[in-house]
Order: sequence, then C-alpha cells, then structure tokens
Amino acid sequence: MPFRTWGRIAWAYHLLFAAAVTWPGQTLVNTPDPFVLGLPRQMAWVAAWLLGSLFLFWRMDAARERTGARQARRSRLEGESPPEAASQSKSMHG
Amino acid sequence: MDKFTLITLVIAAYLAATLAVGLLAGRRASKSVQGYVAGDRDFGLVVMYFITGASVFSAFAFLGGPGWAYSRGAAAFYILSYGVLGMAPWYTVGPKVAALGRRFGFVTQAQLLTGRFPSRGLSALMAALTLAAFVPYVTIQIRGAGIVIEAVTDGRIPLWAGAAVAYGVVMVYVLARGVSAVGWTNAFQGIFMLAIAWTLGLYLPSKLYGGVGPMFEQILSERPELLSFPGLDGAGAPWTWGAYSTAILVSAIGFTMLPHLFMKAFTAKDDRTIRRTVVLFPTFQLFLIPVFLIGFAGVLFPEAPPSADVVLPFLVVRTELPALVVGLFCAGALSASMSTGDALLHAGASVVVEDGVQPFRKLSDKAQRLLMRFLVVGVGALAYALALEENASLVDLLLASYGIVCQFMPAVLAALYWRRATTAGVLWGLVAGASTAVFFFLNPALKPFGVHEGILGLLVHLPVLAIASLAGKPQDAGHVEKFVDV
Repeated sequence: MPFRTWGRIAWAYHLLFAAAVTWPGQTLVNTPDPFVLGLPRQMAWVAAWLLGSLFLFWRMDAARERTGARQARRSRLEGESPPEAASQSKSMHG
Repeated sequence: MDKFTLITLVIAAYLAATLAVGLLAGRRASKSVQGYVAGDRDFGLVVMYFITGASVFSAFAFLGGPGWAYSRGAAAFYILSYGVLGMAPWYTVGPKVAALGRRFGFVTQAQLLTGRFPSRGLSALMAALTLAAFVPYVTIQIRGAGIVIEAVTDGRIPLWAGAAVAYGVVMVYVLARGVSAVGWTNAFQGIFMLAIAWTLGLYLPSKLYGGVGPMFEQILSERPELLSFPGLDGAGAPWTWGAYSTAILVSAIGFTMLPHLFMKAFTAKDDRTIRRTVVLFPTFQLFLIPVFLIGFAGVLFPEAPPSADVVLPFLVVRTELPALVVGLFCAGALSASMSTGDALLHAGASVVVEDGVQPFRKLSDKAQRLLMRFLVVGVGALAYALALEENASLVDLLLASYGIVCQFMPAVLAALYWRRATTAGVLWGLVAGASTAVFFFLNPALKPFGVHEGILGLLVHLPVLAIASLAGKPQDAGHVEKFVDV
C-alpha cells in the first residue's frame, strides 16, 4: 500500500481514537468486566488503541521509506540528485 | 549497614552517575547559543526518543498518575489516552518546524511565530505565557523529587533538603552543558524509569493481591466506583464526562505545544529522526500501564498514605522491600522528576532570553548564554520556593499548565498552514484565548459542564484569530510562502 494511503488511514485512525476515548465513544466500553489480561476492559480498550497506533505509525513510516528509496533510485537512473528535501518535507498526505 | 544508610547511598550513587553523564555529554558542542539551546541540531534517535519519553514519564506520571489511580480510579486513564493523540500530528508538523529552524536559524517556538508574524509584543507574550506555564510544571518536578526522598528515608531527609540536592545536581549539568546534558541524562534516566516502573507495577499487585487480575477483582467488589468511568473528582464525587473528555483534548493539544518539547524539533539531526520518534512514541504510553497498577495496588491497602501523590513511595516503604530495591525505586522516581525538570529549566531560560529579551535588546552570543544560566537558577529557585508551599495535586498543576500552553496551537498552525493569518489576528487570538483560560481557571464554578478552561480558551481564541486576520491586510505573499510552502 502506498505511503499516501497509509497516511490517510493514520489520520482517520487517530480521529477515531480521539472519539473512542472521550464522550460519547468511551461510553461504549464503560464497564470494567470482562477483564482483559487481568486489566479492566476500559483500560485494555485504551491500550488496544495505543497498540493500533504503534502498528499504523510503523507501517506508514515503512511505506514512506520505500517511497523515498524508489524516488532516489529513479533519480539516480535519470542522472539527477535525489529529491531529499522534497521527500523530507512532504506531509503525511504526501 | 542499616537500611537508611543503604538507601541514602543508592540515591547518592544515582545522583553522582547522573551528574557524570550530564557533564560528559556535550563536551564537543559548540560554545554558541545554538550549541547551548539546540545542541548544534545533532540529536539522534536514541536521545530524541528518551527526551520525548521524559516528557511523558515525569513526576506527574510517576507520582501523580498512581495518585490519581489510587484516589480517583478510572479518571486516571485520561493520562494514558492523550499522549499519542497529541503526538500524531507531529509526524507532519515536526519536520516542517525543523526545516524552518534550519532555514532561518530558529531555536525557540516564539522565534518561529515571530518569523512569520513579526511582532516584539507577540514574542514577549509567548515568553510570558511560557514562563507562566513552566513554573507550575517545574514545581511539580521539584516537589516530586522532594516527596520521594522524604518518603523513602522515612522523613530523615525532609522534602526541602531532598528537592534541593536533586535539583542542585540538575542545575550543575544544565548550567554547564545545556541541552546536550538534558538529552543524554534523559536517555540514562529513561532506562532507569522503565525498569523500575515495570518491576514495581507487576511486583506490588502480585505481592499484595496475588496478581493484577485478582487485584482488580477485589477492587471491583469493594470499591466499584473506582472502576466506573469517568472516575471520581478530587472530592470523591463522580467526575463529569465533560471534564474527563476535555482533560484528554486539552492535554493532547498542549502536549506538543509545550515549548520544551516543541523546541526539540530544532535539536534533531534530521527529519527522519523526528518521524521515528513519533513512530516509537506509543511505546512510552504503554509503559505507563504499570504505573497505574501501582496506584490501584494501594486502594485496598490497610493503611492510607498522607496524600494521594505519595501512594507510590508509601507502598514501597510499607511493603518491606529490601533497602537496595527501595533505593533503586527512589532513583527511578528521581529520574522521572529530573528528566523533565532539567528540560523545563533549560527551555524556560532559553525562551525568556531569546523571546523576552533579545527582541528588545540585542545581546552578544556570550551574554545570551550567561543570562540563560542566570535564569536557569532564577526559575529553579522560584519553582523550588513554590514546591515547598504548594498544596495542589501534581496532576491538577499540570492540567493548569496545559490550559495556557494549548493556546499556542492555533498560532503555530496558522504560521505553518494558513496564508491569510496576520500578526494582529494571532496576537489578539492569543490574548483572548489566554485571558479566557485564566478567567475560568480562577472561577471554576462558572465552567459549563466542567469543560477544561483551556478548551474554553480555544473556543474564544479560534474565532478571534480568524476574524481579526480576515479583517486586516493580508501578509506579503512572498513572505508567507517561505513558511507555508516548506
């Protein structure tokens, strides 16, 4: 999946994350039981969103690196200098 | 050797090691303002990771977090939630800020803002607000250090003396080496904090209740109100959803706007380092989980601590752990306090000189560094005096700081992304937002639905910024491009 798509997924995910841990989203998971790995369900809920965030950031950054490497390779083949500055300053939306 | 002597020796060894790391770091940094404030823009991933982590693992999290879990139950989960939400936009914003820093030589947040919106008044206002937010934040750290040392030595070393010794060490390495010392001591302290948090977080529930699951089962059976969202308020009554939700939002917004964290974008070696710091950041939030387990472990403990903020050292002392472990715990808690306090002292002094003094009276590079060092001592002394008097909870103090700091967010986003923003708009927005936040902080009974004063400030700030900007003359397009099209 290209970096741009991962970036969009990451934005959407973190908006959902914000909604899920504040009112009214958090009211969906408002009781402590059943416990998850010994933790109250609400605490495990927040931890699960954090783990999801870690995974998404990791995938998104890997996609960004791949995109940067491809651009650099293409530039070398075309005899240009790699577009380092451009690739570094682009936003998550590419 | 008696228990007290051994604990004192472990604390002394830890402080000596921290001092050594701080003094050894940055010996090769240039003797310039850029070297002292931005570490010659040469921080790699390890240091950046721990600097960012230190802003999470402060005395606020290490002592205030368990304190809230103990006294307010599920309300403490807001602390788990906000960090990643605040950090996520930094993946985009951080590299842009760093690029502008490299291009224009910025080392502070206000320099970035006044680069786009030239105004000495704006610069002075940013410096004043930063200082207003930092003093309570540093106070938390100093008080935390004093609380821990006093508790583990059973009052033999009083709060004032413990805080003075710990922050005496911080002063020495910050004065000598600047941000390089802050970075490398944060890395050293970070390892300590994580090891101690996990060890105690799993050990205490296991020793007192037979495990994490059985602990929560007992709490659910005897104190079910603590595990029901959104937890309790400071008086033990149910907290409001408005207060819980806006505590998350204001902290998320304020988190990356904290000048000591924001300024670290100027210290990173490259953009990749900043992005990877963001990628790894959720690990630090997950590391907070055992800290809350410690607080919950105190809920059904037969004795009650003198205040919620000391529940962690109270349990460590009362559960009769070996003296060496108590000493190491103390070192971990001191790490949490000092790793945040040093960054705050350094950033606070840098901001006052660069943003509060430089725009009005140009100083030589040498004079700037000298004045920064004086201010490190001045800000530290003021916070130390407040730490001895303060009665508010550590978490409440931090939330008050965030109310001010989150007012920087609209100005920063406008500087980086909104072409039509003007200097007058940003200035009026900041004044209106900060005044509103301060008003509701001083009059909490007037807050609708318990909404945090920082959010109420933003609700005033945003329209004022927009209207005042649109009513004025647009900035020169060439000038705006230098900031927006990066």
